[in-house]
Amino acid sequence: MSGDDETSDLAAVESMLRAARGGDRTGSVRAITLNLIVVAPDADHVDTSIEALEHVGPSHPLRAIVATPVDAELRASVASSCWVGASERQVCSERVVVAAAAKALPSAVTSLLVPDLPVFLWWQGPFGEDGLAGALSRLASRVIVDSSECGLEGVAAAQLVGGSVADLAWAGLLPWRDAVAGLFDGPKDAKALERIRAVDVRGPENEARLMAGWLRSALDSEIELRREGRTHHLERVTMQTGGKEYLVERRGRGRLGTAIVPGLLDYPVLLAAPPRSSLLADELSRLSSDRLFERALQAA
Amino acid sequence: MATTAKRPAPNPLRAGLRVGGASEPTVFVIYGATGDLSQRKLLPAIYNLAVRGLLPNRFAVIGYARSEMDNEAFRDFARAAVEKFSRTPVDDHLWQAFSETLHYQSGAFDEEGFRVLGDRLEAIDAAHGTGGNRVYYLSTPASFFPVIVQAMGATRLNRPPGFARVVIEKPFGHDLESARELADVVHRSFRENQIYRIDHYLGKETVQNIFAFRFANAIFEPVWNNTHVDHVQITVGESIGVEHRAAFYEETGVVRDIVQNHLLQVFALVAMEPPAAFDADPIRDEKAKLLRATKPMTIENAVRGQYGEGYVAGEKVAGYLDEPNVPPDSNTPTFIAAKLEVGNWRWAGTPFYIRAGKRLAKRVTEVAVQFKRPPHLPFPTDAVEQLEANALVLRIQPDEGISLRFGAKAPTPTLALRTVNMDFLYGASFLAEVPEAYETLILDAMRGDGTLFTRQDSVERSWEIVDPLLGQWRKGTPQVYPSGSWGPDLSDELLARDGRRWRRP
Repeated sequence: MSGDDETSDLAAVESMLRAARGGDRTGSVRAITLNLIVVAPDADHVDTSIEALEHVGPSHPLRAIVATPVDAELRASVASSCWVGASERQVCSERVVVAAAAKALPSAVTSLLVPDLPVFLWWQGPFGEDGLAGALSRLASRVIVDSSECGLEGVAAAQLVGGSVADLAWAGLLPWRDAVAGLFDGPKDAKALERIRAVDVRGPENEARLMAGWLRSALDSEIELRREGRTHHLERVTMQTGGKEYLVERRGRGRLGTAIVPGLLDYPVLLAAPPRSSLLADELSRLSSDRLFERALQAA
Repeated sequence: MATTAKRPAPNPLRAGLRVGGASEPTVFVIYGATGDLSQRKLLPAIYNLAVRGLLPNRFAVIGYARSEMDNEAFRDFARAAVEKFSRTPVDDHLWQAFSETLHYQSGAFDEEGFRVLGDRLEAIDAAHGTGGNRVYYLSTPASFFPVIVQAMGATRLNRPPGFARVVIEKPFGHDLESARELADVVHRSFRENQIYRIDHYLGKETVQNIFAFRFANAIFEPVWNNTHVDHVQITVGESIGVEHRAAFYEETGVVRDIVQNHLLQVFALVAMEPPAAFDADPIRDEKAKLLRATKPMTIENAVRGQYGEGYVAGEKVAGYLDEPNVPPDSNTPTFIAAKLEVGNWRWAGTPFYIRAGKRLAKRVTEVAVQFKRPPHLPFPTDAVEQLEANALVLRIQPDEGISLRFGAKAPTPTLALRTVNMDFLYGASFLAEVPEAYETLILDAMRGDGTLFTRQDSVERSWEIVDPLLGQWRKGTPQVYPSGSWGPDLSDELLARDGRRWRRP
């Protein structure tokens, strides 16, 4: 990674990035696939964002514009990171961290977007109801939030201003949803789905509500959510039908959980909890709306 | 012939999940589970699918072979294979769960053995809820295929309660007649849409990228025809010799080993018409149409070679006749160059030159589309003397990517045009790890997607294309070429006759 260069002149950013990738000397080319606007409400979020971008970069060469609202004059720092793959191939990403007054940020970000490439907005923290959220959302074709931070109400607010919205917490539920769906893969078990009236979930509130919303929308039926307890991570999902219990659970933070289907041997299931950067990378692969999520959110 | 299993109602919770993965409960049966292919490719590929979370939740493997072994020994065998050959390291926690899906049954490839296997499969269905769905992988020498398939039919392993699919490795016969005989035997137990003929070349990401390049980009298709393309060169070069496979190679030679399958499949992808959909039958229909329009190969349009001693990458290497287990009077060709002609509207008059061989200058697989020169060059003759016609090169391996050759003005005081290359490296936009071809193909077989598998009509037509040449080459001797070269002189003469020359990959 090249070191960060600072400037207060946004017009200088492009030439600084060109220099950072050696373009002025070697004429190297840039292969970038998307723009990512990252809103970091404070310095801690800036650091965690940069860390996440370092993980996302190898699979998604991108230009990241990290926007931080401050009560100070505009400052921008510029850096470029490159990664070498197994076949000695190199991919590079660019990063511009812009600190400016909230009112100035949308225009600053607009001037830094690479033309013709998709724009994603990754909003961290509670989804703001101020003008910044709306202005940046309108620049983006997809808004990425985390209901663990902003709650499901925050996700709904992002939908109102941003259109296509992704939720990292929902993305993290994929292994659980896959394991729960797997409980009913057999023909007899699939029939049992018709008799499910409630789901017991031990886990965080947003994830429990999303799990119940998904079941309601997928099965098109009223399903009661019963909370088994509030924990930091999802630990168990149980459904009872006709006196039989279908269950997926994970103890601790390992990658493996157990699925229990009446009449079968218990079997292990992958319940990996991918890091946020992996979830973010997956969401950047998708340009269209996630209809499944939208329906689950509505039913949550 | 097997009947169609009644499909259960879909699980509504599966909608939108498992994009790219397999979800239907499945038992994967490997015949010849202790063999080389199973060890090097199949078990590591299945493990990597588990790592990627792409296996069905209800899944089991049964290894079947003659060796006496229990489940535990087979799990140890599989672990050793994965540790040695997997592209990802073994994760102990994941292995613990994965290994519980591995089972072993010893027995012969006969009805008695298969009845025991059938009982075992039923027991696994009952314990694991795999629903009677089976993928049978024939990882044995081809000579066992008819025996295994017949015994499966006799013991009704081809008619489980769920679906039954059978995966067959190449070679699919050694000529047209034997290919038809094999197909007749297999069709007695399985319908064509239950048969997955694997050509691992088609599972490579970069071969599939030919589809994407041709049919996702509007700017190339209008010039992809005989009006604009002068000719096409397809090269499949290996730098290695026959190594320890002399006995196999003596039976096959370069035509059966490379041309009849891999090379003609790549050729078909490059030359076929756009399919209506990216689905198995539309794609295989178009490939079959293209092969039907391709004229059979004859000695008038083909040359053969056999590598002699020489130097490859600076190391002295032996000639083919000096390799262990090669008869001193062998006339097996290790190199072919040939001209393929396609009799259809798009390609009439535009030849496809193919070459393939062992111990060539380097390992490379590429397709070079050579465009025609502009009808008129409005520049002084001395300005364009170094200017070559446009060429588009699809590199399949190594350095997967695309090169476009075009003319540009050199920065000189007088007008001079030079040829420059614009390179796109596949890995410069996507640094993600590329799955092994076997992962892709095993997953597709489990999902019931036959797109990347070869259909019987294409197999037969491929044999019809190469059979005349194989017959004519039974006699005579190939021209010896030095190891580390690009083949015999006759190969250059083949193109020189048409006023063309091979590009240097």
